[in-house]
Amino acid sequence: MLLDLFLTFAQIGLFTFGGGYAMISLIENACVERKHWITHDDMMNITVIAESTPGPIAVNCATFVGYRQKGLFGALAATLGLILPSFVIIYAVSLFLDSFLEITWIVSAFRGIRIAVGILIVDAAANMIRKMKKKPLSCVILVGSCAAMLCVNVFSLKFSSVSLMLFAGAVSLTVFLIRSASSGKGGEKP
Amino acid sequence: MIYLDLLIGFLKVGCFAFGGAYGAIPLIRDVVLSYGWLSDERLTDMIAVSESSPGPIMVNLATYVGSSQAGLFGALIATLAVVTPSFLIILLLTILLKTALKNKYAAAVLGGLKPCVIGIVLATGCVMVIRQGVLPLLTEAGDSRPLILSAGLALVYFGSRKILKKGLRRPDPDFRLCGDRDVRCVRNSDAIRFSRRGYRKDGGSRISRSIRHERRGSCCEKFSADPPFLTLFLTKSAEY
Repeated sequence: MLLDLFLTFAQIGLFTFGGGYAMISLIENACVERKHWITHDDMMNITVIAESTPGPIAVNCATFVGYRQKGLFGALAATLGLILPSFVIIYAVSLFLDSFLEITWIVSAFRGIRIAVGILIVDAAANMIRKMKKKPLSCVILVGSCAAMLCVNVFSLKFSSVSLMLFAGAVSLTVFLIRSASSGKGGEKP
Repeated sequence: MIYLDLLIGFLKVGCFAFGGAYGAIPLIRDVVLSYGWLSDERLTDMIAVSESSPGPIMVNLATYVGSSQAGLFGALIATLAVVTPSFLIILLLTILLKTALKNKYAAAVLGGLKPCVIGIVLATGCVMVIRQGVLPLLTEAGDSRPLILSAGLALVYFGSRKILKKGLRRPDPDFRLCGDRDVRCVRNSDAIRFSRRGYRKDGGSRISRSIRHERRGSCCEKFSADPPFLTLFLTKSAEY
């Protein structure tokens, strides 16, 4: 059983390009439809949880499925299975990458690719904005944190994004507390 | 002590990387640049490589940074450090605190964190485009070809995606993957933010056509493999 978990997730880790969201559909296919380890509802719940917890989304799913099947060791087996293939591949790549990046035409290719990476990140942010619940507070936080991060980069300040995130969380909690205090007991949902 | 630095740096990334790989990139960039492990260019190259190789992008980046700083052992430490927090948090949530995320205070904090992450990602993307694309034009004897090529390709790429989405209404493969599960998503719409209009709450047995465009639920999110595709595409075309 442990081996089965390990192999299934190793297979998923080996054949998914494109990170977390591409993996979820494969995990769903393998664990729900072929192996019947978890139900559709479980899968939906874990996807929601994975989005609100830190860390790679696929790792969150693997841990959950593994734990459901075989407890702690199952969770370990599934998670290790998921990351082992990419670990091996990237480690092998890293041994050769430096000499690879010295070839002239690859250098010029990567000059274009670097811009493309930036564009893709902006696209990812645009997608997230489209999905976000648009409320005044979250819009303010979004614009504020974006502006703060731009300032940090332009003036190369020593201010990490972690502290910015903690600050945003604190602001949101404070607003929630004030709001629920002013509207009596219970308050409204944030 | 490089091992300790790697461990602490990537534990930090693992603890705060909300919103998947793209949420983690600004954090990794922060950590890597502040320790001076890699140059900005090399890190960006590596992001492209991580997107085009299998596995979670975050894990790939951690492995690479670790291995470039401290060999195999460093790669192991960085990878485990980035995975451990999410592993523990999920275990904790599934075993003990099944309702913790529904707690209103936790929800309030998360409600502030998420837009902040989006803002950070947006800023980082803009900074990367400007630094890699626009700044070289001002300083050196400007070589504008990379920027023009990438901008043109990006236009073609996003334009074609829009046309494919709206014009042709091709049956997209992701939809087949979801199949009739969509109906279930609609039924569970209290658990998941889902389409705002365009579905019939009562029916449930048929999917109206507009749902496809309205799908917002996390499960039925378009699981596209577009980013590595674009990267590869650009590799091919930027070999001028």
